[in-house]
Amino acid sequence: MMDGSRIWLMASSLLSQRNDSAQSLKELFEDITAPRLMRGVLSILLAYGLTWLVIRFTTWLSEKVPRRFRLFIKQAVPFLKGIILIVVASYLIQLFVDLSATNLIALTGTVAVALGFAFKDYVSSIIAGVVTLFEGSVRMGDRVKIGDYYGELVDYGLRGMRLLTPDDSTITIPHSAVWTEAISSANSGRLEAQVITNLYFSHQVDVETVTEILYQAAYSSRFTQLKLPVAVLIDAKPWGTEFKLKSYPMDARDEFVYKTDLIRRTKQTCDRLQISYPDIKLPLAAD
Amino acid sequence: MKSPLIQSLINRIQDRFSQAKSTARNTEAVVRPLPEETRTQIVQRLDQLPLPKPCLEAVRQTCSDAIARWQTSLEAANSLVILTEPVVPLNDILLQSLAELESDTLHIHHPLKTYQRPYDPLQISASLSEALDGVVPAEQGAADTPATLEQRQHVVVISALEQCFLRCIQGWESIEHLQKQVVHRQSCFWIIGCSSWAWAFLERVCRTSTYLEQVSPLPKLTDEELRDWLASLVKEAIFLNDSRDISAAKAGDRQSYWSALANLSEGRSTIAAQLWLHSLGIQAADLPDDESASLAPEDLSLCLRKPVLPSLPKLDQTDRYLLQSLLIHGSLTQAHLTLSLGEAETQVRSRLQILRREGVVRHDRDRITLNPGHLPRLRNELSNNNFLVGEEVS
Repeated sequence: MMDGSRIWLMASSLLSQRNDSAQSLKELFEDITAPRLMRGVLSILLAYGLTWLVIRFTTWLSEKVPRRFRLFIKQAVPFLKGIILIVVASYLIQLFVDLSATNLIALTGTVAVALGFAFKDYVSSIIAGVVTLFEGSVRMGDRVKIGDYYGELVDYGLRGMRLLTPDDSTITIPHSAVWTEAISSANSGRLEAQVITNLYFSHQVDVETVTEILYQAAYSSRFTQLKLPVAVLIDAKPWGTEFKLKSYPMDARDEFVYKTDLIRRTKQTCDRLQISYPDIKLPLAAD
Repeated sequence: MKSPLIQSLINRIQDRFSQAKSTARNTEAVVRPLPEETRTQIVQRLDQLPLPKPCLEAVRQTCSDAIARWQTSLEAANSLVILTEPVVPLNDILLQSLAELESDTLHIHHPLKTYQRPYDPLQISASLSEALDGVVPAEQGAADTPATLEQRQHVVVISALEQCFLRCIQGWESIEHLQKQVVHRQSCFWIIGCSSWAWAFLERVCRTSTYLEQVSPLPKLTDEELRDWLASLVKEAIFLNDSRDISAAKAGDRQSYWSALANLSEGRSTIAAQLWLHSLGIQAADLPDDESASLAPEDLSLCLRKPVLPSLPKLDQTDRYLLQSLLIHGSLTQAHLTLSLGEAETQVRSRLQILRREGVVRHDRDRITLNPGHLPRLRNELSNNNFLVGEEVS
């Protein structure tokens, strides 16, 4: 059984520790005064405004300049936003926190615990965003497929990226998806992206003739980037012959109109030359 | 060749300076645009101007040397391609310059002198064969030996290769036919004129240079050559460096004017003629009070302001595709242009109308061509937009 003096000593020690931590917390933060608070709010508003301005201006500019410079401008957006964010965050820390060596250690621990429990996913997304940015696996303006979604990467934010799909919907995907999902980029920072056009014909067709028509369809399309190779691959299926035409439009954005142009003109020629299509009897739907 | 970006920047800076200077109040006050009638007269004279002699001589010399090599060596190439810009009248240049090479031992054939693409592009190959079979002597079939060199007396001239195909499916089978003809008919020498844009396209789609290995660019005209060619059109001209007023214009400005003209026009006569015409002005004091009075150019003292490239209007993507097609083919009918673009005719017609109104293209009877003055800027514009363009020929 403890005697009274011991209890008194322990109580005094605990009280003293609590006073110390309150004191150190007080030392960690600067005095929060009205002007300081005002400056903090203003800097956040300024950062928000600047980010908005950067996005608006770069989007406008990238559509005005010749297209070879479009991606270059778009790819600068995440870095510009990052710079704004870092500058403002540094300013806010310097404004409200007294960053001595001891305080820094104390703050790091506190922040680590807070982030570990409350903002785990958010921080994971931010880190994934930074990693992706420097790895360059996807870039602004790329045609990417992440999970089930495909489209042009039109915005790269702090937490996620936005894809503009071919049917004009905008999909926001958290950066953390890069940890788990396979990402496919059709153009990897280039203007051109390979387009694969599948065409199907019967087994009786002269494959040489069809191959030549497909090559010429690609070479004669106004959209084709002639500096890049064109290839035709053939595969035999039970119901017919599959032809894959691989070619590049000058601008990856033209992917769907390009494919339409290739199919339309190929079909016109095949109809004229009476090249037959597979004769597939579809099973009747059950009533 | 300078990078398109650098060239574009240079043009822009030059324009900025010259345009800024052009608006200098002193010059503006005393130099006015030509009266419409005077301008029309000068345009007519420009059209009648003989082809620049240096071009004709250079082509004649190049062809003569190549033919001589072919006539004396079994290993020599039996073809020569002359490359130039799509706005240069290479057809006329070849016709005139080769006329003097004709002799008893050298027969020059122009099977496609008046050739025009048939309406149906699938007929191009057949029509070309027909035209060639009419004039090109058939191959004897015997192997070439030193003794057969004496029989090498026939030269076939195809002055505009870009007119022998159309960018559509099966549209360049004629070129493949021609390549075979050149390879098989070694007893003929083939002189082929082609625009650099068509050449770049054909090189990609049917490896033309593998069959037509000897290629020579049409030389550029120097500032002196351009001066000699154009100076005969007006009696006297005052050369204005636009930073000064007319009274301060010096003879030294003459040299800078022609240098600028040669530089901007890339040494091409048709482009230079456009820029020269655009730079012509008249002193306000020389303008008659009666605006309807007729003024012959020889009665006037004309002023030459610093030449500038005309600005391109704002082009959209459809315009760029259209203009690229036009440059690949040199000149096209509207039906052929529609086919080469694979677009609806109504769409093409409306864009053409706009481009014609803006002065970028012009109609010559039923054919559409590019306004030559726009070529340098358009090349930069298309190159910056990732199009395949014809290299500047030099």
